Amino acid sequence: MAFRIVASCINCWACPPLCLSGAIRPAVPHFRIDAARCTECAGDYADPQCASICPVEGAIVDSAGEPLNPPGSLIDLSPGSLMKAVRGMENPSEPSVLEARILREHLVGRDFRLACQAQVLGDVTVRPA
Amino acid sequence: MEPISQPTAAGASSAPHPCYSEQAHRHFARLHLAVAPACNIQCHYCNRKYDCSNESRPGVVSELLTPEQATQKALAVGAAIPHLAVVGVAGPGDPLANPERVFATFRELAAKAPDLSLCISTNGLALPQQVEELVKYRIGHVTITINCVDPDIGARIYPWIFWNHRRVRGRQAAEILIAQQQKGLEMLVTRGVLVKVNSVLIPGINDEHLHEVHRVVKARGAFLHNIMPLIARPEHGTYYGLTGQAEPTAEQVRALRDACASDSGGTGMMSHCQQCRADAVGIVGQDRGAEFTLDKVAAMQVDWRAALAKRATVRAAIERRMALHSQIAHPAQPMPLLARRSRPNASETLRMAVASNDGHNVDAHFGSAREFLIFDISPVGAKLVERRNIDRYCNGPTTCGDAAPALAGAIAALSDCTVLLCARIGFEPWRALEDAGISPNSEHAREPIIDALLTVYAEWRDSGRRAAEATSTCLCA
Ligand code: SF4
Ligand code: SF4
Ligand code: FES
Repeated sequence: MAFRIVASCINCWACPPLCLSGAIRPAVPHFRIDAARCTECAGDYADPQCASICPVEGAIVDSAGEPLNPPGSLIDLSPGSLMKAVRGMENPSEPSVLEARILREHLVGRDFRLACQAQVLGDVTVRPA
Repeated sequence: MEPISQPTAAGASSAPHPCYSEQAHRHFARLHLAVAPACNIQCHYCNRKYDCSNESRPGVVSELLTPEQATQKALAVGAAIPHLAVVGVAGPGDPLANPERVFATFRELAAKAPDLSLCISTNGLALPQQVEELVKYRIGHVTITINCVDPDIGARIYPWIFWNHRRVRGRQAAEILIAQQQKGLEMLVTRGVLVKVNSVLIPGINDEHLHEVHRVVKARGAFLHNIMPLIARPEHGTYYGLTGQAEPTAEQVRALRDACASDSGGTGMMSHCQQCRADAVGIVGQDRGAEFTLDKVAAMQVDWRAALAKRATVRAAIERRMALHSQIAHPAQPMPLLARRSRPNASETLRMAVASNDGHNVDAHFGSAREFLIFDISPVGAKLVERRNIDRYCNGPTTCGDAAPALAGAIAALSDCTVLLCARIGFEPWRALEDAGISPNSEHAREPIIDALLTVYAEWRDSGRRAAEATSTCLCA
């Protein structure tokens, strides 16, 4: 019975002080949960504390690998609105290196990345810097 | 030993905060320490991969400091930049969501740099329960970001908050946040802590509503209200950035600031905010952060006692200078400083005439000015000599009002001045003034008089028209 922090964690430090079991270790490239210590907060709180403050969808998963904060649950950013944002950029077929990087970062952390990648990143060419 | 444990009343925190006073803004330095990583709410204009845009520029990541590193950095900066007056924590997350880290830093600084004014900038959610602790560390200034006082509007700005061990969403979340912000504001004001309120102007969401916010926070005793433009670009990866939320135009920001200022009788709006970054160093607008990176600071040997003494000297000099400035802005006040100091050498003194309608800014057209403010600027400071009405230089009711004689009268009135500052001036009078040996200058239209005077004086002095020796005691230039 333990949760896990995965690669999309941004090391924001919000969760460690909340964990009564002291299970969360600041680490690079991302924070980790000590499986031997994590109780999933059972008996202490109604909701697991780390997952209740984590700002990143999908960064904390349960033992089955299911995200505790699934895509769209924290910020209502649908693939559709992301697409619109990409199209709204100055030259959508040729995003700047920065735009492409940010978009990729932003999209890849999400579970619907396949849909987005296929439509957005799949057919963009990144200009050399 | 805990040298500073006295609760602080507003008057006791004497160090001027660059974010609070337009004057202090240009003389004193402030340092923001990125010691508070965690946040307890989500704002739609923020992407937690970067720093909080509450007080930071989005898309910028600061070097996160431990409390020890933060203290070390503040002491090093305070030794290298003796006009440092303010140390604040404004990110990258919310200071009060990281109380241990922030208070550990403040505890050390209160002991080793008791002259530095401490401040925090917070979203307000955890404020009420931390007020007593803040007061204990002599926190003189607190900035609260308040974007709304209506939970329905709040629900469009804040998707969730972390509250009482749960994630709370939507309208309910906004309701709690608003209640906490207002309660915190009131508690701070009661305890004599100066509170600045920041509001992010989000067109179509809270633009109209910010009038109401302004009324409410001023009524609760906020010292200043600062309206900042939303920054929302897709590349920042924020909700607003990615959903195409419009940023306000400069005109929208200005109009709202003006409207709020006139709502509250012209007080307590500020317009000089640079949205400084959470890890900013130096005088607002001149970032020196690169000199104080982690490794550089770690390698520095800092004598904090010597630094403390040096800051005291520098501050005294700056305060003298600011006192002189305020004499110009408020000439009715007595001028004890000038009286005490030696008379300036005549060759270093520049007499300038200023065309001003409001008495604060260079805002009058030369042709329509009936009165000029006459100043003597010298290395010792600036002095308002008199308000000179030009009508008595006219040749009499029959000729006055006719353009040319009025011009002649004005020129006669200004004959002892070297420079004339005005907002606008026509070509004819320009040439006539120049012929009379008076340099007209409209480059500083609408600037505060004091700024214009000091700039022009510095130019005049530097251009060598002044006697050569440059041992000016004036730090203004
Ligand atoms: S679920 Fe609870 S016990 Fe487990 S890591 Fe998160 S906060 Fe700690
Ligand atoms: S709250 Fe989430 S993002 Fe922040 S450190 Fe914990 S797991 Fe990582
Ligand atoms: S808050 Fe620092 S410049 Fe405005």
